[in-house]
Amino acid sequence: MRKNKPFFLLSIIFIFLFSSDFDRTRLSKNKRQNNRQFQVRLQSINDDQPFHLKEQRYAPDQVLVKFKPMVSDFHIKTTISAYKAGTIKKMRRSNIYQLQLPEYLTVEEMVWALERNPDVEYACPNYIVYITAVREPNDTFFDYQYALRNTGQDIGIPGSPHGKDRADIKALEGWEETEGSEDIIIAVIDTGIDFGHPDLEDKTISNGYDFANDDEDPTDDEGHGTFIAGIAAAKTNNNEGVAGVAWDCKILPIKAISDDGTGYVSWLIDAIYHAVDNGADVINMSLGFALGPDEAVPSLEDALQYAHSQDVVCVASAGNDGEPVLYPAAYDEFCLAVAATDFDDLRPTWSNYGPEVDVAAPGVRIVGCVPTWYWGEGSIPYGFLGGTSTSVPHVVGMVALIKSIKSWLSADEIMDVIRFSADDTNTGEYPGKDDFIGYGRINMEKALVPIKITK
Amino acid sequence: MKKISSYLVAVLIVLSLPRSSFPQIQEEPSFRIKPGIHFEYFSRKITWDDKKHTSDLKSTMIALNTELEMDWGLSLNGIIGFAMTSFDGLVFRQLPFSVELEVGNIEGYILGAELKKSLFSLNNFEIGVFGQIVHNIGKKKDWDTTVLNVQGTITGKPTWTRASVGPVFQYTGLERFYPYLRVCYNKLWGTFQMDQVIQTLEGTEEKKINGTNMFEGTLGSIFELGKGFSFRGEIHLLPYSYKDEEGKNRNGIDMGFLAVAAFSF
Repeated sequence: MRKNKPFFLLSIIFIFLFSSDFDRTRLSKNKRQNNRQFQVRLQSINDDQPFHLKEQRYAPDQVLVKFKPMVSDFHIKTTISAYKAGTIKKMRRSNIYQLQLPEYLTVEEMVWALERNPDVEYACPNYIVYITAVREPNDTFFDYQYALRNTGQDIGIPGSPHGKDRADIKALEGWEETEGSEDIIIAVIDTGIDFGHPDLEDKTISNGYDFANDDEDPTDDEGHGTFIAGIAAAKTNNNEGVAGVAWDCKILPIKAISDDGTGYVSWLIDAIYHAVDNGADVINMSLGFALGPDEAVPSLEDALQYAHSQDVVCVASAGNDGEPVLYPAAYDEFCLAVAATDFDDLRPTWSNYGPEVDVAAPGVRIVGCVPTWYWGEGSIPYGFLGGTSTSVPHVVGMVALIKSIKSWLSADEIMDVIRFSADDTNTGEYPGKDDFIGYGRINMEKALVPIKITK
Repeated sequence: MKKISSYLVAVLIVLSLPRSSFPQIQEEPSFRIKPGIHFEYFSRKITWDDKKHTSDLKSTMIALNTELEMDWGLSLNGIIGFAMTSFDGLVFRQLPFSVELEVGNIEGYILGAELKKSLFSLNNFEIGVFGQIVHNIGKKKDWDTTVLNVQGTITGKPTWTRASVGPVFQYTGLERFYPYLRVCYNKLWGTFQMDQVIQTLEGTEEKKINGTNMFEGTLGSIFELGKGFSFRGEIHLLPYSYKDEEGKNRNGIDMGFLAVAAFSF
């Protein structure tokens, strides 16, 4: 055996050198085809996630390769040298090698060649890890949307107010779990919608209805409804405008407020029944009215109860007067009442309060869609708005996302998921549920992303 | 009634016959009882949610076993003991709040049986058949949800069963050292039931888990270290193959090892 050892070693080296040449031959034969494959892949990545394209995805001259457990160190070294690669290092506690590529091979070619070696378990590029690896939309004004992702940035032009880091609804983390389903319908009962808005085109499931004018054209003639619909479900990651909370969910626009910003409760009641009967999963009511101690609107409560019985979640604004919660939000059993917080996670004093408040959501200096006619010709159809009106669609979008992945949950259960997952941001002053922000500012991460159970 | 009586008479006649009438039990087998201590570790790639997701199941077992060895090449082995099994990586998305398990080992009891039968010998090689089944009953375990603004409890209860059957090739030409090779069909399956109670929210999800391995190769040996004392060691290799969430084929090898110290009397 000792006599044969040099011959044996030479044979192995020959086999590897031969196999190396063989691989290189196949590489050159397949080079054109292979390059085409990579171009196609790049093209598809471009289509899917354009925001990744500007960034280097992996080290240009390195690959990681794992050899099968039974392959000896000697065999591995011989194989690596056969591919004319250098070993940067063997990774700790594993059989993975970080290889430096020869100049004439690309990462893709090396991975292709290594994957065909029977001693290799797998090979892959040495991908670059970004600390902002969460799915971040590329919409033009996303940086102003502190409600979705707050890094303490200026909210508007430089010098504008800036918020507190992480005083947001943790949208990026929630989107890692879901961006919503096209089957989920958000009914926006408001002033209508601008169907031609670039961030709302093709987002509606039907023309909806206009109860203010009793026709089938709920085109927005006031502006509020377009803004609210955009917060809940604007087209997202489209290189334009703003991001919606529920990217892929659809909107059912129902007009129950006329062009002067007011409406009748009868229109609202009709609108609720219309929403439920036309497949809505959640109803946005960024509106309200006050009732005296001895006053009631049982038919409105009945409409809300009907929606609730059909597992349609109703969400309404608490109001902006620093007074008790408005109706319909105050119908506690059937409606989530939403108060406002700001970019510092603080409650503005004008946000209404009371035991009916369930949760809070950002409602100060919110950027969103305005109708294309609103600012006049030549202006961009976006602007800022505040009020509990703008808090509601954040919650509505979150309901839509929960429904997208957990369609079996009842309205009551979804309302509790929203409540129990909120961050009690005023816990120092009012621990637990309180009259000002209820259970707290909503948190999409806790509601959507699996909670890690540790020891 | 008449028929039953005639059967009864026949049975009585058979039982009353002298034992010499049964040549097959003339040479009554002698038994050897070999109690021992069994230590085992194994790791398996498992799939769940209709093979959509994968994670690892890792278990360490310590058990008492009693082998009943018979002269005619049959041995039966009963195993009873304790296991620590990690199901980390399982995600439960059918609960009101989705949860991901990162709790490490969950205690459980194991109960198992093993059968070996040598079929024939060829020179110094003995060829036989082997079968084993081990069942783990995990203890119920509670965890508190701490990230929510209300109190809640999550309760988990796992079980798994492992079965293997296949031929054994043993070399008997050496003294006190009997290496063997086993190639078995292998199957692992189980459930993990998770209950969630968070105030008014309640949910239960039972997740079915399945091993991705079909075959198990075992290299082992019995060492007779002294009179009445032997040691058995095994290394298990289980190739696996599955498609990941992107439809890409994933291959690898799971491993395990076993050590059994046995006394015979």
